[in-house]
Amino acid sequence: MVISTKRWVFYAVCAAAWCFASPVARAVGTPIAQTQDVIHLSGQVLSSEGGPVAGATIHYGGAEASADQNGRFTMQLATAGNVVFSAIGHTSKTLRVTQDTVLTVVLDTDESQLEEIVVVGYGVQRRSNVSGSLATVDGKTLTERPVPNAANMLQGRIPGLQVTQPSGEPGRDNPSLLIRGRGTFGGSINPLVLIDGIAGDLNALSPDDIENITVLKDASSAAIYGSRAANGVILVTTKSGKAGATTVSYRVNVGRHTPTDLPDFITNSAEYMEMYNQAAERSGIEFRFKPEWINAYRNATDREQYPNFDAVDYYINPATTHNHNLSISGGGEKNTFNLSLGYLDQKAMIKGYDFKRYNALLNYTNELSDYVKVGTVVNATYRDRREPPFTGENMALAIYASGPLYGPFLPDGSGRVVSRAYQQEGRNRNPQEYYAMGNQLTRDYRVNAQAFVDVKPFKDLVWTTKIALNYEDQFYKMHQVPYDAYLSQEMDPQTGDYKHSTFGPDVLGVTDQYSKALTPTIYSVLNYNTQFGTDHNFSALGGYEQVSYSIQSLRGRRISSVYPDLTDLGGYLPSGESLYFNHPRLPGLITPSEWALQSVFGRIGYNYKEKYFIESNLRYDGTSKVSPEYRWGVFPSFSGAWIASKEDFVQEVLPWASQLKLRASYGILGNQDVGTYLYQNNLDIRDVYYSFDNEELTSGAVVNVFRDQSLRWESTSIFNVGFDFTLKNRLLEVNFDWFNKTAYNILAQQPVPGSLGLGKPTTNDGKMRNKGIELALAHYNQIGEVSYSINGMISTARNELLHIRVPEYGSRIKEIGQPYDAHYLYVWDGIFQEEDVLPGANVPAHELNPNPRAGDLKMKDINGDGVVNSEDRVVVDGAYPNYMYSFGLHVGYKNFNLSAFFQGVEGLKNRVEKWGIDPFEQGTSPTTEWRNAWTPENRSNELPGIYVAGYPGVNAYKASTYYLRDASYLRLKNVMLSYEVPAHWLQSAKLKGAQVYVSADNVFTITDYKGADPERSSTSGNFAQYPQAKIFNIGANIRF
Amino acid sequence: MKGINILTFATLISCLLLGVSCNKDFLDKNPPNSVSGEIFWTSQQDVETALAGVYYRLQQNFLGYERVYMEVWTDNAFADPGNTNQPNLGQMAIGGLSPGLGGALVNLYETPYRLIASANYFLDNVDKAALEEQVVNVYKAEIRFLRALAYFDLVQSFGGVVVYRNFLSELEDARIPKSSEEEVYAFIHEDLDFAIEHLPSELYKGHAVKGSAQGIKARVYMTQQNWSAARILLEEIISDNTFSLADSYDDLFTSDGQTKSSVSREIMFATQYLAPNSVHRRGTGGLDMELGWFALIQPYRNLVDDYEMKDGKRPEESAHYRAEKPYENRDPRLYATVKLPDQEWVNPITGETGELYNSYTGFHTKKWVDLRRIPFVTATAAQSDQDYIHLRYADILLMYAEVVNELDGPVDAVYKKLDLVRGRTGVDLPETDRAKYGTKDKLRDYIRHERRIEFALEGHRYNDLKRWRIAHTLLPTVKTPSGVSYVFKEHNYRLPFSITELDNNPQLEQNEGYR
Repeated sequence: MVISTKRWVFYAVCAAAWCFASPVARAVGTPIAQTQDVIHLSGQVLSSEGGPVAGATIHYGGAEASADQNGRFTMQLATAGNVVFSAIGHTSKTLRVTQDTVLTVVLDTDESQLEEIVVVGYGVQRRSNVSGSLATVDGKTLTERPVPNAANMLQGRIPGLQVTQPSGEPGRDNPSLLIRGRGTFGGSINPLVLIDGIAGDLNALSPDDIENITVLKDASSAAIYGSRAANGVILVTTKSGKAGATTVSYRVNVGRHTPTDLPDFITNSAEYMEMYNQAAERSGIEFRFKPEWINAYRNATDREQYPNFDAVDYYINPATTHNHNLSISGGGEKNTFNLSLGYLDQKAMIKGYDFKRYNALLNYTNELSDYVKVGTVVNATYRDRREPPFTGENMALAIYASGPLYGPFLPDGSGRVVSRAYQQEGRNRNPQEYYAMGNQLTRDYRVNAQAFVDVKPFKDLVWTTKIALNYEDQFYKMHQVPYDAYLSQEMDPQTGDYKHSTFGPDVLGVTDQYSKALTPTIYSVLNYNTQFGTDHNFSALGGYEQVSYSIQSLRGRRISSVYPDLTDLGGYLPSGESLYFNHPRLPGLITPSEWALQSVFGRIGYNYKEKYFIESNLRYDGTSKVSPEYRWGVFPSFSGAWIASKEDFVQEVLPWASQLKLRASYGILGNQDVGTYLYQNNLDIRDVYYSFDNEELTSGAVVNVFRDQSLRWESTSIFNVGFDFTLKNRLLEVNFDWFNKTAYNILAQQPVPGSLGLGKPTTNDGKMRNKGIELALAHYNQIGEVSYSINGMISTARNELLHIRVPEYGSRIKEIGQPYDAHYLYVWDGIFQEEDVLPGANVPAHELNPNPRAGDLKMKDINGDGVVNSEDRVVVDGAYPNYMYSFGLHVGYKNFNLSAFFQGVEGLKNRVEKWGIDPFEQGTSPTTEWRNAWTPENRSNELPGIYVAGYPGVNAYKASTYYLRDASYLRLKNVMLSYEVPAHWLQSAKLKGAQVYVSADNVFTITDYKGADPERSSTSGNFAQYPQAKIFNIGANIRF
Repeated sequence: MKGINILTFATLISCLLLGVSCNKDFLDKNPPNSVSGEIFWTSQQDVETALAGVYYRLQQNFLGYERVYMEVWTDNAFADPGNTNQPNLGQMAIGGLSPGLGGALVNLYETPYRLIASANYFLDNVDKAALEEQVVNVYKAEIRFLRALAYFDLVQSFGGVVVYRNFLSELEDARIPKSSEEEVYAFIHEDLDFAIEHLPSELYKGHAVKGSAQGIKARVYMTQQNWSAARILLEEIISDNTFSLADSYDDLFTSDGQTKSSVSREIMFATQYLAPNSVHRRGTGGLDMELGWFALIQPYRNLVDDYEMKDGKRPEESAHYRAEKPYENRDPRLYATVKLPDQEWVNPITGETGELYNSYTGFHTKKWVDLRRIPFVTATAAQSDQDYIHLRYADILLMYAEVVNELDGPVDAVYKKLDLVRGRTGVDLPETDRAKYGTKDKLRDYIRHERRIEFALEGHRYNDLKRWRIAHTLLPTVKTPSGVSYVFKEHNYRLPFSITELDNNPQLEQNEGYR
């Protein structure tokens, strides 16, 4: 640690403390007036349901009293005045008392959660005291959507949090989480996820183990996490036990997954072949289907030999998922515990997959004495995922590419796999070949074990120390065997049998990879809360934390075995074995690396009469990722809030408002999540070889990247203003936030002249802004026996690049003033008609298709210079959604509960191509709309003349709006009907409670995006994707 | 009791925290698999490791096996649109050549510079190792030869380019104006002269030798149309008798063949590979797969038809020609270069047949494809490690023939060198028809034809067409299978600098015709 910086921080903390301390001191000095007259007040506090409110608080001036178990109270007042009755879960009531009185005070039940305790960084706060911008969602709401992955449940639940589930593929459905827009272009864009205070993986959790989730969105709430907080922070609290009788609860859920939307391919073989022949002629491809072949298919009676095969229908089918969770929780006077076990068995809509997840959670606390509490949280996950050698898009595109001419097996019933029908037709591997090739498996063990000690040396001070260890162990295996496949329509003249033809396995043999990652964390925090006088509430927090991380891995491969069915490396021959073999089919090689982070941090908060709030956070972080001179950074934040509704004058104007709070905050956060050794000047020797004699390799060393040693943090400043407003009885709740988030000194690979001959250095250069609003509305009411609520939220984040050293222009643009990575495309302008290609036609020359033919794609000459060239590309909206929204409805009637939840994204556009878009891409059948393709007779301006993918008249303009699809959607994300079984039915079964429910996910979708799900996060640009799922669930919760 | 509890815990926790936070090295982490630049350059081994690092740069893009793809900018081959290794490859031939184009165009520019940066780093630091001058001069000569090769590539593609003589320590030093074409050539000759002076005169075995440098220097002179200077160098190589023609044309292009001394004696410089860890492309790729399976480049009929009959005559003049079997009885080099439509891939050892993607033209590339690796599945074909040959002795002979014809016209020496190549073992074509090719112009055309055939699909023709200044007349007559004409205009003799490069180096001036 550099001394001068340390001192600087000390000054800053002192200064901050002084700012807070001086008004406090002055206020404390004010004497409280005394008089002799005494008014006697007594009575009972009742809730609106009629029962007593135990422990209700009665405030009068500086005095305070509490009601007893029966809600009864007595107190003496010095003078006539306003008395405030309040209790957790109720709206407070103010009565003017002028003489001795016996009162019955009825407090309305208040569900506005103002008094709710919310989790904040290194502690908890009452929601009413929060001056930053954060949002919470409880575990119960999350599990309404019984999707397998906990992270996906957050979708649409938090304003400003964009959750995009990539697909419905088991074990590969981890969503991308983005808080308030894309904040950087160099570092990671992922929020920091902390599970019980320790960095962890939300995807690995069992949804049933989540008590609640808090999302810290602005700088004031996140700054306590300093250099890791720029993308926002997600705090997950797992379920702990509560004192009282031991409860055993069991939840079971069975889900049926069916694909949401799939392409509508032509499956008539004769039609397919005829269309292909047209397309091949246009594309100049030699191979054609012969007329006799086409006739054979058209007139066939033997549909085994001459099928009209629908591969999508055959390979993609509904699948069932089981989820079980058992938890035992409870506690005595001194200790509480929660033990929870979860099991998920997810089958896939495409066969060959099997995903299982086992979760265990132990949460235990023990009060050793009045002053010392110890506890532990152990969260363990084991995931076992088996898959075909090709997954995701690759699996889907093979299904698309297989076309209608052949099925999985030869028609002779031998069970032999078909490769394709004809030798020369375009193709990928037949999906059945994937199953013949072998499989891969991934076993993933994670343990997050933590132990903590809370010490209370004296009143108002808590000293918490936590030691945690995150351990991730992954085992991966690819196993591929030689296999045979045959042409279904061609015979080998020598053997008279079907002709042998196969691309064969691509990573033959056994490839194993072991990897281990270890993240020990230690933090220690002092938390002090006190009250000076009656009106001055003061809180302070100070702490130290250190985190380190290391990962190591080993990959080995052996190719040949006498018994290739064996799956262990030991069963294989050592000849040709290799270490660290890399291949696109395999997961990326893990490079061993380490990093460490060391920090001190603090928070000071003050409020006056719980009406005016100010708070400041500060974190001082040091990281191994930058050079020692620049290692330490300061991340401060300030915030203030005013609960206006507590002012008398506001109460007079807005008597129907139960809460109006105005908030503002500003602060600076950091992002350190780029590579590990970016500042270090080294010669790379890994995989650098040259053979001078064609016999042995000589190791080489090269400098690959230009290094900037003065690398430092990426910083993000966030300015946030907002308000929270609640009508009495929660008839209306409004939460509004406006934010301006600017990332600067962005850590990014800066473009350098290609002539430098070295890779791009990572430097601090770049500035990007996201501005947006978040609005959440809710309405709660009860009409007779029907209680209901409606809520909705909408959020926007407008991205703008403010500085980039060198703009980049491809099909996406990185230019100042534009959204980062906005679409940058030629503008599609219909189809070349025959008169357009005549000599002298008034049509701009197309640089990328200089001799267009009728039926080719036509582009707009934007600048009107008579030539369509790279100058004519324009920025097209749609790289980011215009807004995201969701709305829902809850209705409760007697024991029934119905909830429906819609979610949507507006303005997002995806550029997608190949399988399913371009006809005959590797043999992919055209979709049925290609029946309306351009022909000289059908002068369509919608679709070009049918072609074989790669045809330059279309292919040349892949970077055009022709390939852009509107991926906006609105979908009924979830609907759920549950029934609480009446208690008297359960008594004989000795059950404490039972609930049964049915629910459905992704029920229907309104979108222009056809043939696949609009929700996806592909980076390949391929249209093909593993399908998203509609899920129909049935389940029960039973408490013993 | 309670007090003790607090005290005990407080002490324990304090000790623990003090223990961890006082660890001063906590934030010092170093990569476990690379070498610090501060402690390098202390031994001969360091120097040799760095030397191998510079050679390693030859393996990328058009300095390595992918140079074969440069054929698609000529009348020799069509680029399959599915080639994603070198995006826009085909685009560049049919008029898509513009500063906005990325992919292959950018690779043509950046790859040589990657070698140059490594070479400069080597040359600037090698003296730190304090080796004997003689020893170090040979190393320097090798590296300067490589640097010349890289600049020669750049000057042929772009004309005048930015020249760096040293490794840059400041980013800003990279942003300088380009040198003129003459200055680049002068620098290339400077490097090659040093290389010729210090490299050993011996057979090529992976390290550059004197013959490599002489041959490339001759090629540079020919590109500059300095015939007499080229002639001196070529005569030196020929009279030196170090190199000679291989006894098998086919074997020149397979890994096994290249290790035979009767074959490797023709190779004068190559980019070398060695399976399984130094292959063309790790994972999915390499010449066997890319040509033999994916058919990424497909020979045009125009090339196939240009092969003579085995009697050395044009098909229309030959008695061997039969219209129904047009490709029988041709120059044997055809069968080593092109897979004809009615042929099947057969593994000569196992008899297995191979799979391949369709060709738009109907023809597939045979040259470089090692049939012994059939079936071309990813698992086996990813072992492709054929050395890409930059310069072989046949080139010296044909360059010599060309130079002498330019200087002296159709003299005996020209025919003799032509006949050496045409009559090489296994090809055995009859002698050149001296009557038919009896004038300087006719002989020039014939030499050019011979170069096309001998080096077909080796990546040389694009630069040949450019140095002959016939690209702008010949290429617009070429059509892709879908009927799109090639575009090659006067300004296309130099490629454009990419927009990104101009943005990154504001001092760089765009070539004419692209502004």
